[in-house]
Amino acid sequence: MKITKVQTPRWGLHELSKVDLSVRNRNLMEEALTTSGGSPPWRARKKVELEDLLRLSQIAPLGRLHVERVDLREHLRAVLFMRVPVPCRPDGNNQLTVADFVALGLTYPRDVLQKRLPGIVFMQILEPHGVWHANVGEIGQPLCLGAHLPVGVRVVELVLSAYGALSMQTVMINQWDPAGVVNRSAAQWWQQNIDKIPLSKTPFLVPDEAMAANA
Amino acid sequence: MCPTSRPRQKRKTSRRRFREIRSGGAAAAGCKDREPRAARLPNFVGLAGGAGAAGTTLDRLRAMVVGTGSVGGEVVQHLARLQIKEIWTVDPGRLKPASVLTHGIPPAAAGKQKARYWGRQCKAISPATRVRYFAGPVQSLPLGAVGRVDLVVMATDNLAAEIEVGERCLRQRVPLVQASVHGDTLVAQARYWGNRTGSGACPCCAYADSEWSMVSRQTAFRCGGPDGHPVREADVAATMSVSPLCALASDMAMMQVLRHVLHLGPPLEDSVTEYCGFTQRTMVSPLVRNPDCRADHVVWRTVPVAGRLAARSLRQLALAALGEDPPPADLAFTVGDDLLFVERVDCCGWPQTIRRFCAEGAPVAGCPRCGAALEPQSFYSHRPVSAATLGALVDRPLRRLGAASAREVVVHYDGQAVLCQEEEEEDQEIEP
Repeated sequence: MKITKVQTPRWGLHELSKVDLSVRNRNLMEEALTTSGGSPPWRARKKVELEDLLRLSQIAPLGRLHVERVDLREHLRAVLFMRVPVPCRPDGNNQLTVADFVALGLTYPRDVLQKRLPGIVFMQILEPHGVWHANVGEIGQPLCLGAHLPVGVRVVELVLSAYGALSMQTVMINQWDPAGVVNRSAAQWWQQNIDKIPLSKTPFLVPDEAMAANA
Repeated sequence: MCPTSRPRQKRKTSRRRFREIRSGGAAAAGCKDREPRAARLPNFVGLAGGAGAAGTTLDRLRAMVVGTGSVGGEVVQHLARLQIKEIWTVDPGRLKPASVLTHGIPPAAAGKQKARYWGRQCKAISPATRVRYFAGPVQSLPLGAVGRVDLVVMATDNLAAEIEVGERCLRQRVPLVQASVHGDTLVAQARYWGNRTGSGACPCCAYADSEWSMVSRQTAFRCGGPDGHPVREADVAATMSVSPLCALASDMAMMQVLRHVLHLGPPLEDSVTEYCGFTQRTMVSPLVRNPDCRADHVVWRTVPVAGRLAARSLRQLALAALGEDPPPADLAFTVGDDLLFVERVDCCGWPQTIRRFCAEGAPVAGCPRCGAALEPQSFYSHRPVSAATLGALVDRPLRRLGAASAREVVVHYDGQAVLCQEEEEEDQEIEP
């Protein structure tokens, strides 16, 4: 019997509130808060969401998640760098190319507090280009996180959903199911190459092999 | 390179508007111009000036009814019988054959747009009343629409619509009356929010987890809709009730309307009046402000703008709204009913700078590599848009920024908001 060791993360998601922000993240947050706009409850909510996002980046394995830039002027916007396998357009031999990192544009609009929003409005893939994924639109590369996100969905949940979607641990490739499929060509390709799914089985909070080797 | 060069059809966005009804059509056949209301208007106890004063007040009253179904349809008829000045009806739906079970309609009305159908009925009952209808969701109404009326009556099962109406009425300090039913328990309710100061309750204040779960359940999206746009689907169950209970709820709401408009009896406070058919008891309970309410309890001040708003720059509007220059650091703008400020769009790894206002869902540019029509992308689109993002564009007239259609702009600063609105009402589409 083969036993696979899985490293237990030091911090769990339920302990997020206990994590102290690093100096860098605290400075990033304080600078963003100076220009935070909107009503007082909305500003307070953005602060809470940003704090949790920065804490998540700290408890994640080194290199998994980095919050590069934040803008709180109207919505909560952030540029995130995430280490995750990202499927890109196959080459001429129909061989899939897989990138190691993704740059994500996160948009967390005010409306999310009271309305259910489509799963496609929160994340846009900024890099790499040519992502080949059933739930990533061809133009602008918006990433659909599903048709059933609840009212008031949290930023941390969106980030974790994005990780799961990009590594194809959670994916919708049934082109006849209208929920989540925004690239039908990619959905068809993945149905014919279902043996390649998922691209990674590593949970978000556990380092993958390359990260563990560099640690 | 983008995988498929799919030439896309230009998506035509037509902004919905209210349509004015000039005639009651077949429903008005045989009616005189106007029956004298004074012949039946009672001398309300305690009303200074008697029936004459009541008539004058009603002659000036403008009311909007959101949701013209089994309950709202009764409300609009009551309002028409009071021969008020203006009635605005709002409903995206159509009458179904089963509607005859709960609505006061003949079977032949099945298939007709609810807002329009009841608008025509109002016009037939009261030809002198100006009647307008909007056959769309309340979320698509112009920004300052409820500010054009004195009172809103809401009768919708759609919680998302309830949230939207509640917020709009609070913003513009327009009193709101809601009529609702719970068929299983024979309960009819009428809620009243005075919205005098903006610090009172709103419909959201009473929402618990169960209501927020229902908001989630009532809205679904199909990501693979036409042109790839997510299609919102409202999954709202039909009203499960009997027609007398629906009529009772509408009548209770109308009592609140009359008390509010004519100042009858003790002053109305934010409250819910509830009647139960099982116990035959009526209870009145206060509606209190929830400090953790998710809605923005922000009242808009309204500043009229003479002439065409689109000829002004955003800096000029901010000055008119705030009276101070330089403007606050957190200044932001919501422009028009559906305009986004698009910074740029990306396709084929090729960013294109746009930096103008565009309608949601409308193409803003074409990709020079694959030829695809590019629409606003969420990360690079802003609504509202901060003055910092606009930069020098705050000094350019709106019509030169792609916002020629804008008739309203909301100026946001320091947790407050001012609605800059063209003085002249937009020309309505007219139905004969």
